Order: sequence, then C-alpha cells, then structure tokens
Amino acid sequence: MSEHSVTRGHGADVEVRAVTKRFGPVAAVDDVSLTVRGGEFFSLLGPSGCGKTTTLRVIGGFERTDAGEVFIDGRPMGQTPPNRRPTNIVFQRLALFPHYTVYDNVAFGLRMQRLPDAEVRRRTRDALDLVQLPGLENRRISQLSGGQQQRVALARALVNEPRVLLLDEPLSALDLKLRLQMQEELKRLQHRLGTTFIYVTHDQGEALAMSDRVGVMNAGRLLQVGAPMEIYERPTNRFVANFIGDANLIDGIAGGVERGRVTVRVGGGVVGARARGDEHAGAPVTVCVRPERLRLHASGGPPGALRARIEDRAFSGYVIKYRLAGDGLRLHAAVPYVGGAPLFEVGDEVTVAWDPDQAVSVGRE
Amino acid sequence: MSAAAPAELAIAIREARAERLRDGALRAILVLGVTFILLPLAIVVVYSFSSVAYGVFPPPGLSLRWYSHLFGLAPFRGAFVRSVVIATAATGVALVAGFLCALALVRSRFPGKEALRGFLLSPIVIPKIVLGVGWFIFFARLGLQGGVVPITLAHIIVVLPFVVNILAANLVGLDESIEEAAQDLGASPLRVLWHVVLPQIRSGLVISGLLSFIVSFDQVESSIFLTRGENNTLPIEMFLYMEKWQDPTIAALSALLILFAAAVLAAALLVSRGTNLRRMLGR
Ligand SMILES: Nc1ncnc2c1ncn2[C@@H]1O[C@H](COP(=O)(O)OP(=O)(O)OP(=O)(O)O)[C@@H](O)[C@H]1O
Ligand SMILES: [Mg+2]
Repeated sequence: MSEHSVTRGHGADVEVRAVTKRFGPVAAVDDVSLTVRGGEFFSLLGPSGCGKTTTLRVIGGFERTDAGEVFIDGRPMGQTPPNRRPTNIVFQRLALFPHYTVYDNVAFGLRMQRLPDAEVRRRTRDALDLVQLPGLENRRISQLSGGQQQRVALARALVNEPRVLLLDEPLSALDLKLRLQMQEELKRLQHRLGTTFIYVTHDQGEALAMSDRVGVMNAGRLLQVGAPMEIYERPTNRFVANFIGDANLIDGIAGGVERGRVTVRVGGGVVGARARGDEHAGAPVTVCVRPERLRLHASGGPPGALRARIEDRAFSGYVIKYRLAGDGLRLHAAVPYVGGAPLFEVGDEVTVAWDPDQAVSVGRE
Repeated sequence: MSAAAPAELAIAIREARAERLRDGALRAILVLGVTFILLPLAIVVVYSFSSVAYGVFPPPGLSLRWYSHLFGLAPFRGAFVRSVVIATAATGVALVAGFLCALALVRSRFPGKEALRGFLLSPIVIPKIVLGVGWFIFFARLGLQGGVVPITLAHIIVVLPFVVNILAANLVGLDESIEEAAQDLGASPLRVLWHVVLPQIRSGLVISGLLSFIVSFDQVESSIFLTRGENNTLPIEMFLYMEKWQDPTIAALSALLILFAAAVLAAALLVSRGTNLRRMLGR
C-alpha cells in the first residue's frame, strides 16, 4: 500500500517457550515450545479441542499462562496487554462490533492509532476491496451473511498491517471458490508485507498448500513441526501420520536396522521402511506408507511382499482407489489412472509392495 | 366431502367468531388500561383551566387565571430549579457510581459479592420515610441541617438500585470477546469502555438515567426532613401549598409538569434512536 507500510510490515519473530495453560484440570496447552521466524507462514493443525485457539490467544496476550513465556522479536511479553503487542488476531468467533457499520469495524484499528482521516479512508477501502466486500460499507454487522462477517473480521485485522497476524480459521465460512481466492490474496499480502502469519485451520489442504511450516497438535501438545512435505514424508508418530493426509499404518515387529532402514515382519511378509532411529530387533513398530506409494502386482512381486485381496474399487478421476485386505491387514492404495491400462477387479488376489524409501517407521505410541 | 362440509364450515365460523371476540376483548382491556392511566391526568389538566377557586368538577368556566397566579409565586420557581438541579446531579452521580458497581457485580469475582448486590438493592425495600429520618439524624450529627447537598446525597442512594439493576442486566448480555477485539486493535481499557462498552449499553443508560431523574424529582418522604423552608424541592413546595390552599394552582403546575415529562421522554427517545428504548415503547 504505502512506503511506510512496507518498511513497517517486516514480520516479527515469535517464540513460544514451554507454555502451559490450564483451564481447571485440563491443560489446553501443555508445555508447548515453538519458534516462528519473521515473515514466515506457519500453520497450526490439529483436531477440535486440541488447543489451537488457546495457543493463539496466549500469543495475542488474551490468556495468562500457567508456565512459560512468549517472546516477540526476542522481547519477553510477560503481562503486556494485547493493545501493546505488535499482533492482531482474527478471532474464530469473529467478535465484530455489533454497534458499528462494516466500515467502522474495519477502520477501528486505524482510528485507535490516530491516523489521519485520509489514510484511514484509503486503507479501509483497500482492505474491503481485498476481501471483496466493496459496497457494503454502511451495512450493520447483523445484516451480513456468515461468510461476509468472516471477511469483515479478516479485513479488520489485516488493515492494520501488524507485524504478526494470528488467524483462527479465518476462511472456514466461505465457499470453496471464494476460499481459494482468499487463500491466494492472503498469501500475496503476506509476501508483499513480510508479515508473520500464524494460521489455524481445520483444512489440511489449505495448511499444506499455504504454509512454510506446519505444527501438528493433539491434546494440548505440539507433536511435530516441519515443512509440509517433511511432515507428510516423515511423520514422527502415528497421530501425525494419520492426521496429515491418508496413511496406511501397519503394525509389525522390527527385524534388523541397517543404514537408516528397518525391516519389519508383518504377518507372512517382510517389508522395509526408513528407520526413525529408536528401533531395535524384536520391538513392535508401526510403518506408515501413503496409499499412492503402494505397488500392486497381479503376481510375483519382490520377495517378502504382502498378499491381499481387492475388496473394493473406486474411480475418482486421475486415481483409482482400491481397498485391500489380507495378511490380517486392511490397506488403501491409490493408483494413477491411465486410460486403457488394465485394472484389478474386486476379488483379485494381488501382492502389495513398496520401495522402503517411500515408507517410514513411526514407533508405536 | 359433501356431508362433512357444513359441519366444517360451522366450526370455521365459530373459530373466526372466537378470534374476533378475543381480539375485541384484548383491545377493550388495552383501552381501559390506558384510560385508567390517563384519566386522572386529563382531570388535572381540565381542572387547571378552572375559572373558580374552589374544587368542583367539571369547572363552571374556563380561564388561565391559575397559571398567571402560579407564575406570580416565586417559591415555586426556585423550587423547580432546585429540583431539576438535584435530580440532574443525583442522576449523574448515580449513573457513574451505578455503572462501576454493576461492572464489579457482573465482571469480577470476589467473596461477598451476593451480599453486596443485596445491600446495593436494599434502599428499594426500606420505606423512604425511614431513610429520611435516618439521614436527618445523620446529617444533623455532621452539623448539616439540610439543603441541596444532603438532599442530593439522599437521592443518589434512593436511585442507585435502579441504575445498578438495569445496567447489570445490560452488562450481563455483553459478549466480552468484543472488548478483547477492541483491545487487540489497539484500544486502551479506557477507550474500550468509551468506544465499545458504553455504546452497547446506551439504552440501559438512557432508561436508568430517565428513571433516576423522575424518581429523584418526585421524592417527598426522603427529602422532607432535609429541607429548611427556604430550600424546598418542588414536590415539597406543592405539598406545603396544598396544606394551606385548595385552589387549582397545583393543578396548573401539574399540567406543566406533565408537559415537562413528555418533553424529557421525547428527548430521551431522540437520543436513543434505534436502540432498545424505542423498541420497548413499540416504535
Ligand atoms: N475459557 C475456557 N474455559 C475452560 N476451558 C476452555 C476454555 N477455552 C478452551 N477451553 C478448553 O481447552 C481446550 C482447548 O480449546 P481450544 O479452543 O484451544 O481448542 P481448538 O484447538 O481451538 O479447537 P477448535 O478446533 O474446535 O476450535 C478444550 O478442551 C476446551 O474445552
Ligand atoms: Mg479453535
């Protein structure tokens, strides 16, 4: 927007250090540590009730922590109130001002900074354009649809061009087309201003596509942090493997570990996977293989391959999805659909194999 | 279908008649109620234009002589101004103090909160005359014989429960996350109060302010021990006048007060445009 905003827009580093937040006996956030670099797009993923909102509220200054501390640009935030933190938040429950119009809602933050009227007007209009709400300036909040309200909440936060933007499921009420457009706009804005984004979403496609890094939470704990591809390729535990993307989780007994590879005895076969590092012969382990990494053979296959029967087949455009059962296992496979190539039929006996580099051991817990 | 039709028709007609009857009854009750409220006021207004000095209704003739008589009585003018000043001051203080009390009762948790709530509401249930005697003794011990300041203090206590109750009800309904949002957008606590909390309870402020003003303006029992001849409030001045004279002067004054009340109400409606008060009054 203006020169001034670009220089100011440099995102701040955010560090959450060993933070615990309890509500009664429940630890909504349980000893979470997390570092987000300035200008990074970081997403928090996890099931409902796992503590994502609480984590954002801790960073924004709305919750007193029971332990730990938040640092922004290296400065401990302590009890710094939200109005004196360089953060703005898009609340999951929106919290729009019911007594103001759309315009006054969006202009609120700029007015609190006592910016000149002309600038307030220009930036407010820009923000409303960005979220595709021009023409609704004078509506009351109660006269908007859910998706429109959500976009007002988004505009109200990002109009301030904060150094850290905390977004709590900011696009959940939008239809698919609008959501994709908004994702693009957010990404562009984030790029242009260099704002640090901490983004909470239920939509993992959204998180994987938009984020530099992703953190996966469950039951108040941060289980794994990494680039989207890293999380997908190398989940460090069952929960993450299951939560991100589709996964076949295969329980077995570890054989030998050699050069980063572990062999695992499963039913009548022996399969391979990348080792996590803590496996030892005879210990129970779980192997995670993505459905598109399974190879199905009509007969033969490599030695030790698993045998299974096709239970179900579903066509979904560019992939064929098979459901398989055998050797005490249930598996999903996704095979690219190439027109004219022969398909397996329900009831066919097949062997299932994969390249050990395409699978990973995730421990048992 | 042919056999059933007459019976169904009869039922429909009977239902329609019952409905009309019910509507009619409701309307009649409404008219009766409104008449019951307005009739004494109408009688006072008519009586104020009487041409004679003795109490007879309907008056034998019409005149403005009691109005001109009223304007010639200096004590009433002074008492009116005094009452307005007292009511305004009491309302102002009660709104500020009452808002803070309501905020504490609704938002904070502390031991003895329920007891405090009961205590704050207690002036409603204590007879005003008892309060009046109490204040008389209290102020006498302080060496204050009465006057505008003691009366104002007394009125603040009388009206405070109304303010606390109405504003607490308003505050309970507020979504605190809206205040968090304002704070997040850079508003200091004071600006959150000004830009977000007060606007949302505006109708409560108007209603409780109006009520406070009226209740204070109308106080007799609680004030009567705190006045000293030269600084009577209007209702007391009226009371004393009526003890001596029974002419329609008081009716003329009452008619003017009705006008005054209507003006205050209209002003309040203007101020609270689009808020609950309007809705409450069915506008
Ligand atoms: N104010 C509160 N008082 C008591 N418990 C709370 C409060 N806020 C959150 N919790 C609890 O803390 C846990 C984490 O809540 P949180 O809102 O952070 O979850 P979330 O990950 O944002 O979930 P969702 O995806 O459903 O929004 C939940 O068990 C919730 O019930
Ligand atoms: Mg949440």
